[in-house]
Amino acid sequence: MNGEHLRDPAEHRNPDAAGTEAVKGRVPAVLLLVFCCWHAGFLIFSILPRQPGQENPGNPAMDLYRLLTGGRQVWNVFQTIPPLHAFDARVEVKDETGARTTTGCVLPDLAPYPKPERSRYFVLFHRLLLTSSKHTFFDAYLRKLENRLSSQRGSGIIGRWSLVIDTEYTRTLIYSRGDGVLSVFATRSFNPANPGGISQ
Amino acid sequence: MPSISQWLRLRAHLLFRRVDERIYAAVRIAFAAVALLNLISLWPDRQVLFSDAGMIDHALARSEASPVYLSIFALARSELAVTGCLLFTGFALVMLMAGVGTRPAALWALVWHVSYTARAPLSNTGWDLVLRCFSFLVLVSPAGKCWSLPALIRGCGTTIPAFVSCHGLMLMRLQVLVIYWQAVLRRLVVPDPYWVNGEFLSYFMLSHYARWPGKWVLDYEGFLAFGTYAIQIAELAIPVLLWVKKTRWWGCLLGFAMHAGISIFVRDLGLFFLSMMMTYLAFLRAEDVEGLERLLKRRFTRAGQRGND
Repeated sequence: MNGEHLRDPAEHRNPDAAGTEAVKGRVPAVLLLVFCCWHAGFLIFSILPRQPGQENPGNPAMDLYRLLTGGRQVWNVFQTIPPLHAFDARVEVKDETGARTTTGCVLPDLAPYPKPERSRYFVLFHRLLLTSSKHTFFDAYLRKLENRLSSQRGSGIIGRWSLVIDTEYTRTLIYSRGDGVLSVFATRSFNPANPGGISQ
Repeated sequence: MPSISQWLRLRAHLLFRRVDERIYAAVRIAFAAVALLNLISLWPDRQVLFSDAGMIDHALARSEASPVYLSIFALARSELAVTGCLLFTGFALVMLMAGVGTRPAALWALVWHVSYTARAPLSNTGWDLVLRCFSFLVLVSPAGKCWSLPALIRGCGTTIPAFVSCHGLMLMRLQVLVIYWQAVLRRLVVPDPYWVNGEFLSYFMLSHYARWPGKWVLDYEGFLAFGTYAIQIAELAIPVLLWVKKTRWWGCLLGFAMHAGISIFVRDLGLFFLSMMMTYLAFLRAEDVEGLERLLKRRFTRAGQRGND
């Protein structure tokens, strides 16, 4: 795949000279040509977006090719507006007396949710919480949280903790223009017994 | 009707036309630098994202992978192994940047990008996907040996830049086209009301992605509507402007302005900006790298003279 280094000054002055000679050997050149034509065609075809719900290509061989050559070519960043104005997450633990203490929710060491927010954490929590197809990841995360809290504070903590998510949803502009209020606040708490969450 | 050999010759002319290897070197160095910055940004979160003790269940990541789970994190699951894996990747990226053992280093860069995006699919960002695509394209491209540590050690001016086939650059340029045009076409195929009515940027500036969300947004809705439409036009225009020789600097300027603007107003997207700027290097021409090399040499000579004085 390396191009041949042409040290001849005459060649150096004439870069327009083209052809398969730029690659060592005829067979590698033809193989590379076939691959490049194929991949170029694949890329050009990828410009056409798939319909929503058809993100899974279906063909395992094609999917493997996509995986090895850089992914599924789905470039849908900011397809629509982000719904949230603010987001925060924490773990609340109730002790025997009913008093609440707060701890972080980021495993492995239960660090606090980063503030100011970082892209990676936001997309992680957003997909865990809001993408319905990823609920198995969320359930597993809640179980991991419980195991971690149990190992830190003893098994008595089971059933006395919850993951609390504070969200502020951006209001429709037409309402915000009227009264100047930009968002509405909502809090939900989750634990392994209530993975769907309870509004607070 | 062209014969098969004529058809192949035409394709060969398009894909194997000779270009200055320093363009490949510029892409390789920039890719390795951005991938290294990304690795540094991942370092504090390595256990959170990649180890068994972290946020994402390994068995689920494996079961979600389609059609197969390809990740070095299938083997490197403990905290120590994850740390070792990141350290080795850092070493490989430095080697790639220096142009030493370029092909194995580029192969490892691809393995790394495929691996971590498979292990932590829920935390993948836009720049992870750009870097993953380019890790493959850098691997199948000429290395650009002229700008490498061994060439530097041999001494400046002793290595004449070679002319190598342009297949890698063609694929990289197509990749940039796909990134921009698919985003635009997607909005046409599935029209989003906020992109259509021009309110997208207003909502975006009010979201928690924004660096300064606040009531000020409501006073600039007209300007932000203009920005919403301008972004869509820019996304269509940038690849074309970059591709045409005469307008490539306008394309570069437009892309720089758009991505820099996004980075200023949106939190934590610096790596996306750098990743996209890295992809633009594939549109450089021989005279650009010639000029860049002259500029660098002049700078180094002046710095050397100042040091001697």
